[in-house]
Amino acid sequence: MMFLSNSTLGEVVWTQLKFKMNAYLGAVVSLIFVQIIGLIVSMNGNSSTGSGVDNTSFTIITISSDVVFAFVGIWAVFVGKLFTTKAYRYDDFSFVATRLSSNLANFSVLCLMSIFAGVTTFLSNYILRVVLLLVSDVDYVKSVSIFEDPIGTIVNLSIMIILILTISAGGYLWGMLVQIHKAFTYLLILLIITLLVTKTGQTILQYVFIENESIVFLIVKLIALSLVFFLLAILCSNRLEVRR
Amino acid sequence: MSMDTWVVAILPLLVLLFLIWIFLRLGRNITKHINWTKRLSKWLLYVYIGMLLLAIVAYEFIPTNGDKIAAPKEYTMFKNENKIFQQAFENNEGSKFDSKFLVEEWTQELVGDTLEIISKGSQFPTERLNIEWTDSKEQLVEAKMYKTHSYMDGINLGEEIPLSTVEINDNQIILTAPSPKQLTYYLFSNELSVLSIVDSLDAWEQRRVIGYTYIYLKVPKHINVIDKDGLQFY
Repeated sequence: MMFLSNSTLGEVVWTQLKFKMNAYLGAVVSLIFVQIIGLIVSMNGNSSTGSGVDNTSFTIITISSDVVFAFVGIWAVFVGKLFTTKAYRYDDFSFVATRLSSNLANFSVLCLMSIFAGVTTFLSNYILRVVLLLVSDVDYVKSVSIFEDPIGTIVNLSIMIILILTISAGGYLWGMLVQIHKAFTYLLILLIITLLVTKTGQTILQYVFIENESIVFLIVKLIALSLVFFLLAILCSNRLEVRR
Repeated sequence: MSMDTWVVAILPLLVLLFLIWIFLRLGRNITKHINWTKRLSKWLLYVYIGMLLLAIVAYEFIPTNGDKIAAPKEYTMFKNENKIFQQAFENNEGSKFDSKFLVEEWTQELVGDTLEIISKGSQFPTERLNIEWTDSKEQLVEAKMYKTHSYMDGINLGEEIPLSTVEINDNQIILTAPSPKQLTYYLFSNELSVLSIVDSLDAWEQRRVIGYTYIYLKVPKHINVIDKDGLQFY
């Protein structure tokens, strides 16, 4: 067959990516609200350590991005899942596209959103720092800032981005599975509980998240996990029906 | 950390996740009724990013309490110095005391042959006391107060903890503990503590040095010391 114009896969993906970045702006706005709720919840601190000597007791309240990250993690699951819903998938029919190009475009959008979510989650800690120090009369200990520890900043930032990407990839796979059969909606929850309760599940979680000789191992494992999720999602999408 | 502890630690997270899920559902229902224009969304995005960047710059200009001691070896050095002092104190080796720990010293000519040590202000003595017996035939008693290093998460606690007061009368040494005090500090972290929980417990121990207040007396052997509160370090 002959066509007036031939587009490469890269061009199609790029066109879809541009469209999706504009169309899914609402997801980014919802991320801001999710982070603000997380920040409000974080105001009491994530953990505290105390000690006492000579009639004086000390409490050090540690404020980190953990709670905001938990909120963003849930957001990532739902955004990943959202991209697989019929309404979003049907948007792709506005273009001359294949399932592969749609999946690659979705993957790219999730990557970009994960970068944005990771960076803003990391930086949101600074809003908390400033607000707490201006509003509260509690003293604070000099804590490491971006300028003092640039390498640490890059490492922590990378972990946050990749974790969010893995979670959103998990959400994307979950969404695809749900599109195949509704039962997967509950099977995922069952799978999470099984992972937490069974010894094998705990061993897997410990292997992935805790037993890491260095942070590089963790990053490599998470990237590999994300790729596995996406590949499985692509395989699942090939089983979906075409639009009727 | 054992498996069971790990599961218990993750349970509150599950509750939190459930709450977030409820929040998100509620949020979705509410936002359905709001007509977000693309222009408004973009502005919201710019304002939020602007606020984040502003917060980074503003944080650098907020004055701090306490200096961060970054290197764990500094804490190790403090711990060693405290240990050496403690050992010298227990062994009555006054000559080995590091002079930088000396806070105050007194000498007192006793009236009789009795010296009474009284502790006030606290159920448990806040000071550690030791006596070096001298062969002197005089009535002169020397008292020295020392305070060893106390650091926690970069705060020099030595500067924050009020000192015990020492009052020496004709034949009494009255040690009054400082009034109870509660100090709270914020410590901000760039790290996700969920991922570094095993390391952070060790790291926290490394960033903690607790020192004590020591009272060292030089008393002639013929003086009878009455220590009702059991302050003496045997």
